[in-house]
Amino acid sequence: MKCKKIQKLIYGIFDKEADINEKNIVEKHINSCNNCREIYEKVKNMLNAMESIPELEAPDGFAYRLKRKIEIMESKKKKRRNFIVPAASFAMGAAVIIVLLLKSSISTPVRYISPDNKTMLSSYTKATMLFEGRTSYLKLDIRSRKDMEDVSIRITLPSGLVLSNNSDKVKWHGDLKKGLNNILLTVEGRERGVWNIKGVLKKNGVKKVFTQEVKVI
Amino acid sequence: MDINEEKLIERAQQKDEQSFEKIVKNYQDRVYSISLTLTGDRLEAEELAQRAFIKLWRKIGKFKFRSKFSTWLYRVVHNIFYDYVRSEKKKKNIEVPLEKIHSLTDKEPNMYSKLEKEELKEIIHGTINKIPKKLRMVVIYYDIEGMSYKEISGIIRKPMGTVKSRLNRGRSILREKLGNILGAANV
Repeated sequence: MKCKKIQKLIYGIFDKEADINEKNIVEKHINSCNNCREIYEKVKNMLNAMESIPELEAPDGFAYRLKRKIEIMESKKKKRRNFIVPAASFAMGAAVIIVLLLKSSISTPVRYISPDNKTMLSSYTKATMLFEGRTSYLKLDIRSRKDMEDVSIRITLPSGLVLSNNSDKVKWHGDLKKGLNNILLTVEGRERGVWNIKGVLKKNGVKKVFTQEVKVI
Repeated sequence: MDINEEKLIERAQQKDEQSFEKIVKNYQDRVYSISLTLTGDRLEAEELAQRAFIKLWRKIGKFKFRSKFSTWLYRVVHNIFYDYVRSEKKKKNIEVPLEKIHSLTDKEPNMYSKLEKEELKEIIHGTINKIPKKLRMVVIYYDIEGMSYKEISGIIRKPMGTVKSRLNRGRSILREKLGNILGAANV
């Protein structure tokens, strides 16, 4: 048998995988081949030495230091969780309010909120971003320097948005109060993109045009 | 599986730190030992072993009691070890660097007979890092850690035939790198 094949069998002998026949072949060969005998001895010495390399002990305090690292890691995780949970409940609260409002007023595409009406609604519906295919509230800000009676506002929606009554135009008529007035529109995002809502405010024949940018995602 | 170990694992899966600490104590020497063989540096070995146990802490919930826990544990930590080996940032030799081997091989043949078994072990330990990475892990697991082909096959997720061929290729390279020291060592 060639030396190369013998050398492959040598490891099998030390791994107790070679059968008696293979052992005999190797023994016979190494008795007559100096090179393979040398390799056999080297493999034997190397494997014996490796086998007896003792398991090294982990340094003192290894487990304690690990425990501290895990504690720090867990407390950071906890902090992150505590931050996420209130944020999530806030979002849930907002969602519940919006859904309830949608249910009650889905047929009313426009609604007025006066500056003295500091309801939760006005703080939750600041969205200038809507989702495609979903109905949401959109708040238009109208700041007035003084109380104004008999004001009419006409709003035209761009093609990316539609009102809850499937119209793209809506009119509101009423009194504005001094401060920040809000017009709430119930709209659905129709197409993704950045869109401009155009409004015209009329008072005693005087017109004022305003726009508001909305993003549909 | 040992009933006590099973209970410890179950508790550790519920994030019981004390139970996990006991598991760590059962395996820390072996994991540290492999880390030291790989890194050749005690501080780095501790860091690597701790990273391996932190990964275990994160993953222990995924153990389904279908295999031997130790095999599963080494499979989890193997990736940490293998990533380290793959990065190959520091090819350190532990206590006995290769230079020592060269200085020994430069001497007269009769000097080798004085080479003690302990010294040979150290040299081997230090030379293992010169074996190609894929082969190195198998040599460490089989020849130093005494794992079986089956265990290694489970850890590295390769067939047993691959384990055997990697082992023998790794051993041959190691034998060549160690050169005459092996033949002369008094072991």
